[in-house]
Amino acid sequence: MYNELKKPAFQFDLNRCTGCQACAVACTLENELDLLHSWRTVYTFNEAHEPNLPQFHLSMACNHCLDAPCLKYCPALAISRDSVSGAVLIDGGKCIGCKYCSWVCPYDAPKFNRTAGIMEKCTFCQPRLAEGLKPACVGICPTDALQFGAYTENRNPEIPGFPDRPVRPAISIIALRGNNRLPQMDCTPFDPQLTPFLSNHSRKFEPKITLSSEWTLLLFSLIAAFSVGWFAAFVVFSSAFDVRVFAVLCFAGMGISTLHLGKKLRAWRALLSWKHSWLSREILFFGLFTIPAVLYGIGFLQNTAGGWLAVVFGFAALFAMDRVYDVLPQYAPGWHSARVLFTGLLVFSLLGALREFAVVLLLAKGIVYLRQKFTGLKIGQALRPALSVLRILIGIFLPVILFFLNGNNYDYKILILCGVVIGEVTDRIEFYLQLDLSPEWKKYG
Amino acid sequence: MPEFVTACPRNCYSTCSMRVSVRDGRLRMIEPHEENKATSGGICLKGLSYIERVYSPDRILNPLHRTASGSFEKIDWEDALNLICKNIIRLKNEYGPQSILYYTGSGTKGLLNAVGMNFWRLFGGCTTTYGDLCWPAGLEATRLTLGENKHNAPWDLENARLIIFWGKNAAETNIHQMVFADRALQNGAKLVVIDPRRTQTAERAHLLIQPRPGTDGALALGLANVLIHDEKPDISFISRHVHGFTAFKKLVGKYTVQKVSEICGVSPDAIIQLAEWLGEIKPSTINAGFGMQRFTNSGQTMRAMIALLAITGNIGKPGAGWMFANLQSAVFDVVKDPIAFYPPQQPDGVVRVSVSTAKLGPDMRAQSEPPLKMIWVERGNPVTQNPETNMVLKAFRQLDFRVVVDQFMTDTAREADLILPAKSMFEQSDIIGAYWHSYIQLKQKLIDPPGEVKPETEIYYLLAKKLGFSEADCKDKIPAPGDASIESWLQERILRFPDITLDRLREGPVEAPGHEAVAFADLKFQTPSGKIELYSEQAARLWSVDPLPDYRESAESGKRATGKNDKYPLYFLTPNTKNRIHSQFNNLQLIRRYSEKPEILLHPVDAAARGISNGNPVRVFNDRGELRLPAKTDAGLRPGCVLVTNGWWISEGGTVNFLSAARETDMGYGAAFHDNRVEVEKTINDK
Ligand code: SF4
Ligand code: SF4
Repeated sequence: MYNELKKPAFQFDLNRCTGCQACAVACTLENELDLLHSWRTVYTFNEAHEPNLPQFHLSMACNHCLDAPCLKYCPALAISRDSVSGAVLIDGGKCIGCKYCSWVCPYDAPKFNRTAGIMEKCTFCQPRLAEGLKPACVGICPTDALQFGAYTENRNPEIPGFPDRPVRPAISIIALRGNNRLPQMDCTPFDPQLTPFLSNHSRKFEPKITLSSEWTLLLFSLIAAFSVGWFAAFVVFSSAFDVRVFAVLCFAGMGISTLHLGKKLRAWRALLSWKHSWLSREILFFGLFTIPAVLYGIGFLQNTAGGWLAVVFGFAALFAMDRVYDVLPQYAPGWHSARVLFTGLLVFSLLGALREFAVVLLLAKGIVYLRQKFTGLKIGQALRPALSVLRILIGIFLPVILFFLNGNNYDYKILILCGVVIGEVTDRIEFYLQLDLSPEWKKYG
Repeated sequence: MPEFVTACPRNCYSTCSMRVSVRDGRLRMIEPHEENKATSGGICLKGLSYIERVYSPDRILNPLHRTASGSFEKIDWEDALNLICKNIIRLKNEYGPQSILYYTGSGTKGLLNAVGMNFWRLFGGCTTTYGDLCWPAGLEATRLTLGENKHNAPWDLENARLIIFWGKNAAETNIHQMVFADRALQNGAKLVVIDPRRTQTAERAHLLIQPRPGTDGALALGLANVLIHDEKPDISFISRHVHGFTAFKKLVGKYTVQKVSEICGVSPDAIIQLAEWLGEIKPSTINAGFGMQRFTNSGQTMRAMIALLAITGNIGKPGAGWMFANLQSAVFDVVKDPIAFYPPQQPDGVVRVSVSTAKLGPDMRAQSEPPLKMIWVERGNPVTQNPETNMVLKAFRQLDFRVVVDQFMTDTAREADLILPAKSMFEQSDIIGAYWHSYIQLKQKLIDPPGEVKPETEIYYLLAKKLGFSEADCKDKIPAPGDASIESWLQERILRFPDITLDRLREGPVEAPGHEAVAFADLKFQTPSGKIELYSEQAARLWSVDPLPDYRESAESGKRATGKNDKYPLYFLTPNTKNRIHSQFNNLQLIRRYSEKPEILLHPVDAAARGISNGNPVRVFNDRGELRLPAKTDAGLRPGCVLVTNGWWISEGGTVNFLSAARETDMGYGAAFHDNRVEVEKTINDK
């Protein structure tokens, strides 16, 4: 039986690893993966040999964390812990291929298998463990840098790029021997002016989230925000409503959201982990919003309480949707201006003629937006001037000015709405662009 | 799952013992064999990639014949053998058998490799090469100084207190050695790396000295100067075991720290620091690499380096010594390297040993009476691996008929008229030695050759039949096809060693009979004086060099600047990497995923001076040829040095030997192709 105290764990000695890649190749062969893929990756720090920094390597696969975020947040309950080895395992028969586990993993362990449409990752080599052998990578490592031992609660030493998160990874890393971090070198001292000639050195890693792969989620989240806001305005202020358009919007949104799944037919499994995963909750709440809302819209549900209930679920869905991103370890969006909950409220106040509230929200969004732009620039994010102008001028200034020019004018209303839609879409696009989930070590090189 | 024992036969220090699991007749996984104490840690990525290599869709599985249009078509063995017979008989009649060059490389080790030359002798002769691309200068320097090429067992390195990796990047080329180096470091040893670049091996070192390429000899003499000046030499050891110390002392007097610092471009502090450690820390081991001894002055360089150990008494003790080549497992060789690859003093009139491996291109073209008309290439890829690729290509293209035996469509195979498919290491048993540890191992047959592949021995056997050689002639020389016959042939070779049987070898590696864990522990040296010879009359007689290991600038040294040299100010380093054994392996996906295409590394200073940034396309050139590659900056290089790794195919982006020179080393008939300078310029991206 699995005993947390005796839990197996990787051990990795930075002094010994030469970056030879044998572990990663062993993984490919043992697990009979496509020859170009491996569940283990060796990252090199300071490939350019910056003279004041050591060069070293980090060989990483799954660390089978004791508080595994993938296991906790998988919406489909496809990830479990092996009762004997403590390995965190993905059940290929249950995985829906939503990739959320790879987003929440600080170590980039789960890998998407395009052919199978599911996520896969290191299993500690279950069949080998069953035979009393060590995982293949450990057995193959020629320098014994990678070993297999028992888990200890000791925190890992501070290693540049190694995200020591409170997830209790089953790996202990032996740091570089203290006084021997860098050889004493006898070459022309490095002139910082030459730094530009060293830049762009790191290998280009495929970003985990890209607009082109995640546009379906972007669309879904905006559709959700607009439909919730719209319906709430209808219930609370009896503003104009067209249930046919509304129903098409909601169901299309749900349909689109399944498009990014590797296993679309298993989409229903996404609801299974409503107890733990905000991803499940988001879908559950959105369903609980859509159905009564449509029924209410066609007049089947007469009771206003039903409408109000739908509104509550609607905003809960938006709240859950924001939480989905809040838990990502590498990314703390905080009060991002593109939070869908606020988009929903904005639409609600706009359509519901809460003019002052809408203006306040818009201005607040503008301030938050500018603030995140400045902090973003400081940490090296792109400025994206065209999007920024669109966001601020069309998405905020235009509606606010039109409001003051008499927002009840019908033409203006349309214009205001258009401005808001453009602004929110732009903001959401930037949100996805900023969502950099590459593990910290990938930023070295 | 059944598991079998075998060993990697590549030209690699490690020569790993392996356990191979086979499922349904297919190789599945390769793992280390714990009984090889040198390589029990693991298998490198190349060794693992055999699983792909054996089954690669690119593998050549049929004889291929070049058609009139220049493409290759499959032909059957009968036609292939007839074509060969027709050509070799015609050439023998018209020009004599010596118009055929039999060329072999270091692609695979094994006793059965001898069968090829047996065939050509029976045929009536051929021409062949002398010398070697790899390590002759160092072998000869060691032989002249210590009498024999042997060193302590690999694991003894952990007893060293001072480890110097001198021109050796063990982390990439002998990864298993790093285990012992790390153990020594854990015990408090000092690690010094001497290399013009900051290598992977240097990363955990205490001191990295980056001399100007080709000046290591001066550095060694400078270190000796400081040692002697500080009265550090081990006088009692010297008086009993060293020959020529007085003369040597006088020589090194000229190599003051200041002078050496100027020659090598190394700070006086670094020289003094290392000399201090050499004087005070014992035992010390120097691991000398192969790359550094491919200069025109490198035999003398290596002699000067060994002298450092001799005068500090670091020979014949645990944790001490000169680790260059360990030929203790070469028990089957009657004559050992380097002598084995020297041209015979008396030509036998059958095999003409007249083509220098180092000067393959020009020498092939220079042969007369008879001139060369045909080449047979086996286990090698001379088009990319021998110096001056353009000259080699020219020489190849002048021939009438070219046969190349290979597993893949290498650049040499592309030049062939007839390609014969080569076996993989899992398709015929053989016995191999090593040159770092001293295990004898069985490279075992585990699967049948795929497709139409035939082991070389079988090709020779079939040719022998066709040519009508008699059974009696072939006996012992060319084994008949079939596992039983091969095994009995191997059995024959190991008969005189009772501890080595095929059955024992099937279990795992066996240490060579008479091997010494601490080499020269008896302090007996097979030199004319019976001592370690710092002064060698033999060296002077055989190679016309100074009897003392005096320093001379290498052929393309910047300090010799003639007008011509100034055109090419950059030293061109072409080291091996972990990804390849010379030109093998990079065609596989498992390897290519880590080394996609060749690139040239430049120090940011040199890049900036030429307006080159990372990723820019550049042209690397000298009078011998050029390469077009993307640039990559590397602040770990010594400024003034640029680097492209060895072993890329022309079809992958270009071999470094387009730029190297066909020249011999000062001793041993080695190839001095690292003595090489180039210029780099930015090009406009063609596409
Ligand atoms: S096999 Fe070992 S030495 Fe090689 S990269 Fe992996 S962990 Fe590092
Ligand atoms: S290439 Fe060298 S290190 Fe790799 S498996 Fe073969 S012998 Fe071992």
